[in-house]
Amino acid sequence: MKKIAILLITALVVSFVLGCIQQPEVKEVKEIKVGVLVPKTGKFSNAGVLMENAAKLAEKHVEEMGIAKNYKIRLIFADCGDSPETAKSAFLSLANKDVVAIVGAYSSPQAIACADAANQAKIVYIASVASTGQLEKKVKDGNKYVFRNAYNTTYWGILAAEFLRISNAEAYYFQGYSPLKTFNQGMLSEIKKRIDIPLKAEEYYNPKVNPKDVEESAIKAAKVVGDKDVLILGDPGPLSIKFLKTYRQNNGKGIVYSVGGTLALPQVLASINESYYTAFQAAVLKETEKTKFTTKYFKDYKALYGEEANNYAGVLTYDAVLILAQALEKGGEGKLIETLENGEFMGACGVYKFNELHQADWGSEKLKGVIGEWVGKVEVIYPEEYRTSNVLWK
Amino acid sequence: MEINYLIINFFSGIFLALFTIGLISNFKIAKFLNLSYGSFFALGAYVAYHFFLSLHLLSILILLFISSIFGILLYVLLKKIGNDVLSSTIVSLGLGILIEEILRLTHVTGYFLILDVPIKVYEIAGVKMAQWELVQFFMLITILTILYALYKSKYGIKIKFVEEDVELATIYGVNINVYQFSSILLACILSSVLGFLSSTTQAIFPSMGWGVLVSGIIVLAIASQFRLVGFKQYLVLAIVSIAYAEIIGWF
Amino acid sequence: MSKKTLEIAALIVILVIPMFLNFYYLWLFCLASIFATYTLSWFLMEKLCGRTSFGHTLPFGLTAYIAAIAIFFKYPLYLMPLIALLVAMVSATIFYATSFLDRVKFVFATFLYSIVLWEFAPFVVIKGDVLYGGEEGFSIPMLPTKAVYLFSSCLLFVTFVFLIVLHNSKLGLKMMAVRDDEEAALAIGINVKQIKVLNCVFSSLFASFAGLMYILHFSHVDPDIFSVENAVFPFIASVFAGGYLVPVIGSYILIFASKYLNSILPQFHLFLYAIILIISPKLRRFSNARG
Repeated sequence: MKKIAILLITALVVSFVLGCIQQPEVKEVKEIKVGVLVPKTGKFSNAGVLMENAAKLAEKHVEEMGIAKNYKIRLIFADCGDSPETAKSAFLSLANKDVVAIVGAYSSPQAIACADAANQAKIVYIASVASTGQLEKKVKDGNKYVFRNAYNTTYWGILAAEFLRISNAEAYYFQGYSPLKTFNQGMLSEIKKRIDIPLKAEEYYNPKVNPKDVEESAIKAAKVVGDKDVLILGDPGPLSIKFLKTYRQNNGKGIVYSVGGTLALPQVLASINESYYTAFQAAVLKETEKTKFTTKYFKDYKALYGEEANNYAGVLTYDAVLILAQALEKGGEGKLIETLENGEFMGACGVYKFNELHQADWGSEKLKGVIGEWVGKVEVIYPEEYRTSNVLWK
Repeated sequence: MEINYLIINFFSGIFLALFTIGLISNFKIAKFLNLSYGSFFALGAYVAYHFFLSLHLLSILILLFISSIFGILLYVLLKKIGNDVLSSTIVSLGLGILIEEILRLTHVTGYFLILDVPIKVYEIAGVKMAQWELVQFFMLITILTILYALYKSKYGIKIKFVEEDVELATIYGVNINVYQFSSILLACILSSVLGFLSSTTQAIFPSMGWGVLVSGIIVLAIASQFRLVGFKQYLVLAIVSIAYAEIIGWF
Repeated sequence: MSKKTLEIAALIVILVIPMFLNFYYLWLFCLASIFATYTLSWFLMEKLCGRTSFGHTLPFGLTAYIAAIAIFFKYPLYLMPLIALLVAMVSATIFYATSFLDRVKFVFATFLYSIVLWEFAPFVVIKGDVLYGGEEGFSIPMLPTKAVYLFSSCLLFVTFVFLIVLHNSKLGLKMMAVRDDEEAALAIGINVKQIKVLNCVFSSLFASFAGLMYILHFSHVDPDIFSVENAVFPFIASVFAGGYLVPVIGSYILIFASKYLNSILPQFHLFLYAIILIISPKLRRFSNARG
C-alpha cells in the first residue's frame, strides 16, 4: 500500500512538472520577398559584386539576430546594368515576382527611373547609392514610394566643407569628372555656401574626348595646389586612381580629398604607393563602431567573402535591407510606408530616420558620414566622437 | 599656352596617334571599323596585371600570344561571317563585348585591379614624363619608320592597291587575305601592348578601353577626310592626332 | 489572303495581346512597340534607299530630349508632336546632306552623329532648385501606361501600313531604283534628289515620333539614349531581313532578350547579346538567300 501511494504521488508530481513545462508555440513565419537591384553587368559591375555580397550578408544577419521574427526575408536579385532602361525593366520584373519592397540600383539616372517604376508598381523603393536631388523632388511631387538611405548631393558637399574647416586649409582646388558634372556642381555649390576660403580653380576631366585628359588635369593641378591646400577630387570611379598617381608623381602637394568610391577603400589605398595624405569620406569605417551592426558587418564580410567590406555602396545596401526588415517587423507589410516615415532604424552606419522628403537624416546626431585620412593606415578625422587623429599634412 | 602644356599635349597626341594607327590600318586594309580595339587594350592591361610582377618583360611574350589568339579569332570571324564593312564592324563589336564579358566573369571582385609598380620619371623642359610615355614616343617613330620602309618596298604597291580597290587588287593577283590578316593581327597586338604599357597608371577594369576607342574614332574620322593612301596617311594621322590633342588640351 | 494582309493581321494580334496582360508585360510590350517603330523607320532608309544609318538616334533621341525639356518648362503635351516634326525636319536635312557621301562613309558619318550627341548631351544642364539634366537627364510626370501603349501601338501600326503601301507604290519603286543604281535612275528621268529627300523625311519622321513615344512611356531621358547600343539596335533587330513584319518581331525579341533575361540570367545576358551580334550578319545573309 505504501509503495502504491509513493508511486501515485511520484506520478502526480511528474505530471504536474510536465504540465508546467509549456510547449513552444508553433508560430507561423511568413516568407517575404525583397528585391535587390545590383549592377552585375556594365561599367558598375565591380560595385555590383560588393552590393550583392553585402545584401546577402544582411539577409544572413536578419535571420541570425532575429531582426524580423515574424518574417523570413528572402532576397531576389536582378541586374540593373548601367542604364536607366535596364534598371527600370529589372525593377518591374522584380515587382512582377510579388516582392514587398526593392532596394539598390547604382547611378542617379537609374534611381530616378526606379523611383518612377516604384510609383507605377506601388512598391516601396529604397535608393541605397544614388545622390540626385530629383528623388526628393519626386517625393515632393507626390511619389510616396521612394526613400533614400544614402546621402544626397547636398550632404556630400557638407562633408567636404566640414573637411576643409577641420583641416584649416588655406585654399582648395576642385577637380571634377565631366560625366558626373551635375553631381560635382551640386556638391561644389554646397561647399561654397559653407566655406569662405578661396577656390583656386574648378576643372573637369573627360577622357572620352582626350584619353590623356586625366593625366593632363593632374599635372595642371600639381602646379597650382599649394602645401596647405586641399584638392577635392569629385570622381568616385577608377580614373581617380590615375589622377592621384599622376598628381603625386608630379609633386602634387597638399591633401587630396576624395568624394569616396574607389579611393575610399583602404584595400585600394594600401595598394597605391602615392596614396598617402589622401582623405576620403565614407558612410562608415570599421574603426568607427557606430552600432552593434558596424563591427559585425566588417568582420563577417571579410570572413565570408575574403576581402574588405565596402564602406559606401555595399554598407548602405546592407543597411537598406536591415531597415526594411525592422520596418516590416514593426508595422507589417500593409503599413510599410508609414512605418518608414515615422520610425527609427538601426544599421551599420548609424540610426536612420527619414525626413518629410523620405531622405535619411544624414548629419543628425545619430547618423553622420565619416571622413578618414590614409597615412599608411586609416586615421579617422570626423566625426569628433570617433576621431583618432587631427588632419595630417604632407 | 605655356610650353609645358604644349609638351604634355604633344605626348597625349603621340599616344592617340599610336592607338589610331591600328584603327586606320584595319579601316583601310581590312575594310572595317574595329570596335573590339578597346577590348584588346583592356586585355593587354589584364595580362600585365597577372604576369608583369612575376615575369617582368617576359610577360610581353604571353601578351603577344594571347592577343594573337584573339586577333586570329577576329580574323576568322570576319572571314566567315563579315563580308562587308558593316557586317565586319558589327562582328568586331560583338567580339569586343565578348572579350569584356570574359574578363568580367573571370575577375569577379568588388575591387578594381591595380598594378602598382614604381615608374621612372624624366624631366623634359620642366615637365615630368613617365618612362612609358617616352617608350610610346619611340614606338611611334619606329612604327612610322617601318611603315615608310614597307611602303617603299615591293609590298608597298600591293598594300596601296588593297587600300584603294580591293576587287581590282584581287584581279591583279594580290593576295589580299595575307595583308588583311596581318593588318588585323598587328593592330590587335598594338592595342594590347598599349594597354599593357598603360596598366601601371590606372585601375584595370573590363571597359577601360572604351573611352580611348571613342577618341580614336574621332581622330580617325578627321584623318580619313584627307583620302590618302600609303605612308602619307599614317604621317597625316600622327599630325592630326597631335593637333587634336593640342587643340582639345587648349580648351 | 495575301501575304501583306496576313502580316497586318499578325501585327494586330501582337498589338492587342498586351492589353490583357499584367502591368510588367504591358510595359515591356510598350517599350518593344516603340523600338519596333524606331527599327521600321531605320529599315525604311535601309531597304528603300540602300543607306545604312548608325545615326537614327539623332531624330529618336533628340526628340525625346527636347520634348522632356519642353515639358520641364511646362509646355503643354499637345505641342510635343510639333517638336517631333521640327526635329524630324532637321534630322532629314542632316541625313540628306550626308547622303552625298558614298554608302560606306554614310554609315560612319551617321555613327559619328550618335557619338557626338552621346558626348555632348551631358552638357545640357538647367539650373533650378537643384541642377537638372547633365548625366542625370530629365524626368517628366508619368503618364498612364495603357494610354501611352495605345498611342505607340497606333504609331507602329501606321508606320507598318505606310511602309507596305509605300513599297507597292510608284514612289516606292522609284526609291528602290535609286537604291539599286543612282546614275541609272537619273538616266531614266527619276528626280534622285527629290527621292532621297522624301526618304530622309519619312524615315526621320517615324523615328522622331518613336522618340516622342519613348519619353512619354519611360518618363525619363538621359544621354544613354544616344548610346552605341541604341545606334546599332535596328541593324540587329532586322537581322532576318525579309518582309516588314520581321524587323518588328526582331525588335520585340531583342527587347525581351535584353530586358527580360536580366532577372533570369543576370550574369550572362550581355554574353548572349555579344553572340547574337557576332552571328547576326550570317543570319541576315542566310535569310536573304532563302528570300
